[in-house]
Amino acid sequence: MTTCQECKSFFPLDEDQAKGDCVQRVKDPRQAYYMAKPVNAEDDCSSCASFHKKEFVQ
Amino acid sequence: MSRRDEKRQAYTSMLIPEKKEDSSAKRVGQKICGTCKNYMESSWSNDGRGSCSCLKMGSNISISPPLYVLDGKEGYLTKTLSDAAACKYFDKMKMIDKDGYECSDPIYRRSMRQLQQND
Amino acid sequence: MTQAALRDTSVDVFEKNQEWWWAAEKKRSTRLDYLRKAIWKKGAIGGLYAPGVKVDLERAKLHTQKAKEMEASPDPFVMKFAKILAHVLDNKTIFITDQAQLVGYTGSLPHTMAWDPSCASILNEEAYNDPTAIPDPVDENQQVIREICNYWIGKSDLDKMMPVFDMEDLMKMLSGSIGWGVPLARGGYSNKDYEYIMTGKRAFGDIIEELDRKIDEVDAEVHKPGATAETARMYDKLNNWDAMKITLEAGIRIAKRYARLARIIAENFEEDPQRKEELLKIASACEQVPAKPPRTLQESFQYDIFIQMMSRNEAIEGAWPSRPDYYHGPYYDKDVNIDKTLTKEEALDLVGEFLIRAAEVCQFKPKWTREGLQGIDGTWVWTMGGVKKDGSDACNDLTIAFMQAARLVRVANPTFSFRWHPKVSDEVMREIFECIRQGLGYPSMRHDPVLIANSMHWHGHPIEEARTWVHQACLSPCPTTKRGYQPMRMANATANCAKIIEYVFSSGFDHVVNMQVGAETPDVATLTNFEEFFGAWIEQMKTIFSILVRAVNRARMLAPTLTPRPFLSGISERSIESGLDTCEPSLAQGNAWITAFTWVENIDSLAAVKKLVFDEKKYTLAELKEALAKNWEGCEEMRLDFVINAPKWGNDDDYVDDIMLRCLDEAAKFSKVLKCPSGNNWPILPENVSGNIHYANIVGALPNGRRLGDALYDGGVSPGPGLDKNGPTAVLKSCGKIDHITGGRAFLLNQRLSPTQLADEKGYQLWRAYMRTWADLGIDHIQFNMVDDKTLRSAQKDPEKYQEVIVRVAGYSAHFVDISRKTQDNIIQRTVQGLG
Repeated sequence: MTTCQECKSFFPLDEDQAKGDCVQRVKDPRQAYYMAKPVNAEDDCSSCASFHKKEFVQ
Repeated sequence: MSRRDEKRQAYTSMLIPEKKEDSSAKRVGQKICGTCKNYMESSWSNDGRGSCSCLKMGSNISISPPLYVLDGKEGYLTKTLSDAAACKYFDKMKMIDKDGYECSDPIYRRSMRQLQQND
Repeated sequence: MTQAALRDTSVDVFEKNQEWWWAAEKKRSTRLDYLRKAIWKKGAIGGLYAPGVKVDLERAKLHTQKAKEMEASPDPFVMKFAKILAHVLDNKTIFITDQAQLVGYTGSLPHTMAWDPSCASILNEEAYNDPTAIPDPVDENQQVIREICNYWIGKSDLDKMMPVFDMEDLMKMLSGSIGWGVPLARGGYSNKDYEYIMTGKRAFGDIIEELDRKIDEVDAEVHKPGATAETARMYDKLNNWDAMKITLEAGIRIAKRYARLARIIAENFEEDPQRKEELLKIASACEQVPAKPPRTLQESFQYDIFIQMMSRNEAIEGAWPSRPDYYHGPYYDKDVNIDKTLTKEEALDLVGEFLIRAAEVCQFKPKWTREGLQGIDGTWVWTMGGVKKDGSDACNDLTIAFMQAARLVRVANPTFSFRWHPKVSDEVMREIFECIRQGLGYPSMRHDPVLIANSMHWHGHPIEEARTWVHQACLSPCPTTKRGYQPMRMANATANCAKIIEYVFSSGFDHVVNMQVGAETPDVATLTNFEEFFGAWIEQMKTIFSILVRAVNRARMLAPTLTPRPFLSGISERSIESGLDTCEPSLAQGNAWITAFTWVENIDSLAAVKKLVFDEKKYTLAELKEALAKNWEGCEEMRLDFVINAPKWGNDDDYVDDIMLRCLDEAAKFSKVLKCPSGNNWPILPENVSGNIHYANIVGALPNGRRLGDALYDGGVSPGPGLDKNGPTAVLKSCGKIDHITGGRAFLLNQRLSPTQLADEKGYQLWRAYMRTWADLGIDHIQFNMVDDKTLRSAQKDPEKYQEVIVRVAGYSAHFVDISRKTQDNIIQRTVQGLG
């Protein structure tokens, strides 16, 4: 199962790494914006069309 | 029945019923109250309530045979999508202004779902 | 217009051609231009929402999910409600638009309309029945909506409220023939206790500390030995305070979510250093407000937006009572004039964006609102100018900045209404004139001394309190103080007054909705003189007003328990102090009014009956009754007699003007018989929004010659379109005969002026002279349309080219292309008055 925390768009909360925001760039017909939606790190995002795997830098 | 009871009964008949999965709109035929010349939808909301200018309170067109009350003052409270196939007073309205943009047009006074079904 | 043509044409040319919208586009900053064009138009076009604008399912789902979860919770209702609101705010999607400096929106995404399913099942039905507003995939989402609708049947505010109304009144109200709106504390127009929350003395954090002190005090009190009725009531106060605290804390948390998003964008996505800095400033602002009082103009605007966003998550708000130049003015002065941390241009960008943020606000609304407020989501009539509590001029540099920003962003909503008084400077008047001349249709002008006296007369507000007034909706003044502010004006005390005269002819039976609605007055054919006829009119007037007022009074009494407003209470001094919901009638001075839609039809009809039936005896009442019953069909000659040969209001003709005064006098007398739950009066306030179109098919034929289906007059005390034939001064003289202090709460007056005549300095001087006459006559309101027929007719033919033309509809402005053809025609028909 793929989870939100593996995604580039996931930004964990400092105070609780199990929670965070899914932050995405959107361009609609009138404007461009960034949006944030609260998610849990462990949420299943197997069917999420916006999933982009996070690249880990050692 | 007190006057207060009568009004309560009328109000109860206007309550919004639970919606079934197969929407009632898909089941209605061509003859519904909303397309009858005698029907006036409430201007208050789009929830499909209205009244009949021909039949009076106490009528019931949903039973067989329908009960027609023609005497009295207050109109029979019915709904846009009520099946009027059995009503002998049904008088089909001529459709005008199908784009629905003229908000004062009588046609707009029916829910858009109904409009789609009957165009 | 193509981009090339726009680039190659100078501002001067556009202004000379009075193509103000193109001139504005060239004059405004790149940022304002982007943000202005980024707005999704939310006002319904005619009665339908614009393509692409969708019902926001996220909010409805979050609300329903939490409500289901909490069904078994032992919490009292007010606490449950506060927790649901907090859940929505904690979990909703938020966004920050490129180039924006201010954040916060009612819905989850820019193109969505917030839908609160807990307000009324009839509203939910509309969401279900409007496939154009259901987001894709429609079929799937319609099923989601169906489930939400089903859950709220019997549980929504209105569903709970309706069975406890009087059934007979309820059925009459539901017919839609005499009233407009619902009697709900979460569906109308909320004023705010701005003197408590917006003066920089405190913010949410301070209030939470105060609440904690209160809770500890009372908690200690209830545990002392002894028990009284007061002790028993204290538990409710504790619950209310807890609920207020929950919502205020949620408000601070969502602001911090915006701060966090701004930082994430700045640190992870944004490459432009200037934009990074702006984003960090947004973050800093959202960390400051609403937790702590604002420090800068940007923070002050941001604070205001958060308060509005919270309030609009708690309730469906149809208005935006506000006095932005007064409350934000000190921050403008500090930043621009004292600290010089903002240039005037930078400040203008912020002011323009503040207007844009307000313009995009939207909540999904029912049919009567969409039709009655065509082109806008609600009446955001912002109050400008006026006097301070000590009576000195309240205008400041921000008043001017608002006027200038309005001409640059040219939004139709919010609009401004200016509190004129004799101390207003010429500089400010010129800025106002420029807005009107450039066709915005606003500011409307209000006579401050008259309206302050009016507030004292009708509702007994002390003078210092009365001087704080803002527009609670389109026109009605309401103070912004602890006791003076009205938490919720329930819109259904809005009377479709044309029914008064209609019912005189039908003995109260409504032939359009097939119901006995009015009083059973004697058969009109049996009345033998005008006094008897007028007596029947009075009886119908009293009956209609009473039905509507009874419903509002009942709802106001029940509101604190059935439909509490913990957030609104949490920003109200009286609730913080008392522990009671802010809608509790005993806490308020009472500031009720009956909006009188379609009022002047009565005057012209009564005058026609008096003249043609009783004075000249050309027709009998029986003949007239029959003609009206036939909708004048087959009686065209007779109808024209009633149109042409009867005197009409607005021509300085005492024959008809005296009838207006008699009608207002009768209404004023009855206004003092009707009492609100706070014990105060119910004066009438003639105005229409676009109810004249909404009611066109509901009002039957009338003795002024109108047929069923014809648009009604544009409202207030404005003469019928094209019926004011004796010039602008005659209109003012007719209106000036009314006592605008004791005659009613306020009186809307529309006037159309020629843009060509008012093009230059001479035009300004003509307008000033006209305004002096208006002020001398003590008329409380006037508003102008200054767009010529040619432009409006061209806009009808070629709407794409004239997307930005704004007109004054009634108590609000709208883009001309967004209103129905009938309303457009109605505006064109209004007489263009030449001055001088």
